Amino acid sequence: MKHSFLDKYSSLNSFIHKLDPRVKIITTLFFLIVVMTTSPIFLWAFLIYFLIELIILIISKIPILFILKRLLMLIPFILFIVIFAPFISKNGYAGSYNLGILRNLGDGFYNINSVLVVMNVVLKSFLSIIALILLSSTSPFSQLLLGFRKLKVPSIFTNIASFMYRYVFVIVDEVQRMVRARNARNYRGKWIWQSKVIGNMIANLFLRSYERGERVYFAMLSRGYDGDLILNYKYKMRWIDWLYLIIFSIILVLTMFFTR
Amino acid sequence: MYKNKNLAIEIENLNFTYPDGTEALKDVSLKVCEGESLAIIGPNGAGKSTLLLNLNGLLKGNGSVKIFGTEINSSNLRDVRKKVGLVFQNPDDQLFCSTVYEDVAFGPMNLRLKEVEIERRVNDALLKVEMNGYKNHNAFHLSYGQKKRVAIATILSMNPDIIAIDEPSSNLDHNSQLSLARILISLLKTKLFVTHDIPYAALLCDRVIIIDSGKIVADGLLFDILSIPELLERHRLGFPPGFSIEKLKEDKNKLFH
Repeated sequence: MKHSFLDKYSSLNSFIHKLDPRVKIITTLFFLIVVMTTSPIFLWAFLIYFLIELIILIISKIPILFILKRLLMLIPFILFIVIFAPFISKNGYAGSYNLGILRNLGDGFYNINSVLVVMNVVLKSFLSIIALILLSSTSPFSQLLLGFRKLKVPSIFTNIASFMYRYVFVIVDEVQRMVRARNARNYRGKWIWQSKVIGNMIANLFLRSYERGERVYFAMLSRGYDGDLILNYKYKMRWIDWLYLIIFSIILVLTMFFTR
Repeated sequence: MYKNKNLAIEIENLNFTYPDGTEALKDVSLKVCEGESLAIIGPNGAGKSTLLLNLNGLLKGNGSVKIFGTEINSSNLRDVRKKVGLVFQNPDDQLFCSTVYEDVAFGPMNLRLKEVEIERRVNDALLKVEMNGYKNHNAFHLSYGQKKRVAIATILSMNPDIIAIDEPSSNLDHNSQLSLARILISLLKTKLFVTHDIPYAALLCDRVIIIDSGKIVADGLLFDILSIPELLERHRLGFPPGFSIEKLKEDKNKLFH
């Protein structure tokens, strides 16, 4: 079975793709912190953040449609916030809820406080996710992890992420095979007693993954593994990397300064 | 018989019991000379794979396992694993990096070799298994036969003296089996193959041992042993329909000429 890569566009050739992943990790983290801490009343600041992302998107030649598709996954989360917005109390601080919906309704369905909360969540989550999609699709995943490793992130985290990346499709395949074998024996999921089957499948999948983990570990030991994945990092900080880092930081610091 | 040659592997009275009480190996003794290629055949669950895992200290049973005269213990595991390369049955277990290159380089990197040397070894190994055009591919997206060959390259890049392969022919189509056989025959190393594919074992090896219920029940020249049908039958082994010793000898000659 074939699946698309998680980091589908990471091998494109553009200015952004050629940057050292460390620069991209640092700028992305900085960007996320600044976006998160901006008060939602400064709408123009969010416009600037969006423009920054748009410029990176255009330079990196990643298809816009790809990003839009990925953004769809945010909708269920945002939907909940919107549904609960009428319950947000008028005078309370953001995040405080009021079950007296009728009292709220008297002031119009959405009060200014709830509008701010919704705006806050929608703008920030979309901007953050776009930033993360840009990060993960402008560097090959293994090099990105090495970037994290070079930034002194403990190897246990990067190793787990690297195995996740390698085995997620193997597990998806395994699930698909199990579902197929189940359906081939007339499973329709209509009856309560059939729901037990799903529990069994999850347990089965866990056991298979566990045993696979053991076999992979044996294969690693056989090749002299002693606790750290040593891989070669292909990037070096060039003057252009430093320049990008500095310009990006200056823009962010300036917007931070004017939105406080 | 063994006096004038170097012994690559020397196993004496090896017993191995799994934590759940299964006795997988019972009093196994085996000598393998340098440069020999040995087929380990036997029915399912006979202890063939357990024997392989004992060869580089992944499992440790009672008894002694010597590699080139040195007994395996916890202080020389590093050296032993450099000398004995194991290729596992399922290449998805063997290939865990994000690109073929990284996977083949994994062993040499753990040996702390220089980058130039690592690159040379990766190129050599991939060339030997005819996969040199796939360096930057993701292992998951290769075909099964290609994965199998890359899995062998991950061991070749460590330049071991002994190479042990679990089920080399399983899940491969006819052409992939033959091209793999050619590659395996061309490797000048001590080779062990665990299999229950008798025709394939006949292509690759001159000597065979039969393991059943954790015991070595036969050891000798391949065509000698295969010519005792009662022996094969007793241990749930046999030729696939249409095969005979004559046909096997013929096939083997074809592969070499």
